[in-house]
Amino acid sequence: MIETSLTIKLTLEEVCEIAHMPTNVLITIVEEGIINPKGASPKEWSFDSYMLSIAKRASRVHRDFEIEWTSIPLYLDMIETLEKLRTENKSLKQRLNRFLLE
Amino acid sequence: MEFKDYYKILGVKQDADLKAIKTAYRKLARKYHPDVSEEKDAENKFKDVAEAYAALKDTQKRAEYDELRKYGQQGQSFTPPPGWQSASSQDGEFSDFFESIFGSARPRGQQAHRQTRFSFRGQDIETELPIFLEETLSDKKKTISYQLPHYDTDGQRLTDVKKTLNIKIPKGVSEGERIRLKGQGGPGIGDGENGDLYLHIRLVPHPLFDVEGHNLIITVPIAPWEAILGTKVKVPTLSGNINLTIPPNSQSGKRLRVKGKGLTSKTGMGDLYAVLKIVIPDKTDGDSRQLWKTLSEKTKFNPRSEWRTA
Repeated sequence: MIETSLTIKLTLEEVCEIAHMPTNVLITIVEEGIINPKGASPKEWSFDSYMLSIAKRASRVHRDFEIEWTSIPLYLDMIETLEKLRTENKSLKQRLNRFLLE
Repeated sequence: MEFKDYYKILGVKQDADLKAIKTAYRKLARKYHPDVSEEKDAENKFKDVAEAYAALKDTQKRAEYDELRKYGQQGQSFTPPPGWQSASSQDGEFSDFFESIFGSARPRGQQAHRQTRFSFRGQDIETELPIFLEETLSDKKKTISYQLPHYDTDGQRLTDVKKTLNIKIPKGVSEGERIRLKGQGGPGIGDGENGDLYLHIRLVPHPLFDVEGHNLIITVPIAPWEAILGTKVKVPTLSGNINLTIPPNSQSGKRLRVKGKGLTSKTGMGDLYAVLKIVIPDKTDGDSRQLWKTLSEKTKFNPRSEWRTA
């Protein structure tokens, strides 16, 4: 039986390796405040899995949409809102359908 | 390997300038990017578009591609001419077709940086794991199978290998959550570590219960007289039936809370909400109809009093 884990702590190097991301890109992502790892200096930074996924997404949209780093927090906020609304809308529709008749 | 017509994919003419290529790419990126798109198969379509853009935005790559395009057509089988070698370098992960022309960013490209042998971390694998609501209440043993990509020591991709694991899903997992299984992804090459496996939790829609955070919602159909007089109804939960008291004069849509009968979460058990839905019989005949008639004559009730029309 393999134990599974929901909490993950990663270093700068580990995030770069997992996300196939150059170190300078990850440092930019932190400096722009897109993610806020614990720890004072890059050597001490500690990332969790949520930060990993945000970092991956940030570097992806920087590349795919050619968006400036400074605009990425806004983009991520809007995407998060969009996803939340889509999920909420889907579940509300499902609930509404239990009440409505054609 | 299939030939890909990058001009066709971007919908541009062969003599399109860089500006037209960029415009076409941006338009398609907005349409198919997996972050925003609701189109079917958006992810694969976007991959093609991104790959076409990577090839055509770079003057050198585009010249090389134009050279090869003379020998290939969209959808047809294609192999680069013997001795073909690209002078380009690239850093994304693209299709075999792209890599056959411009080379791969995987191990082969890294060889130069290492002295004797190269190391490369195995690929992370992400797979969806459908879970029934009932299975989230306690730790759940599950057997999962997934495909692992394999590469030989030259970095050439080999046939995928099927891997099966017995795992324990911790209780209280929720929709969209990712579980990481360290080292269970693609095998590392050289001294490289194995990649990780991420299980993306999907709660299977339940025929009776809707999920709202850690709470569950069940719609309870009741007859009009049950709504007026009140009653006790046997209501299913994820862990057996309960007796629910419907108070007299309950409105349709009223929510009744059943504490602790929702989903498990880190902060304790969620609740079950029973939502009342008044249902009337399909047919009303003879005596019954007469009784309703009497009732309507004897009851002073205006259901539309809130409208206050003049």
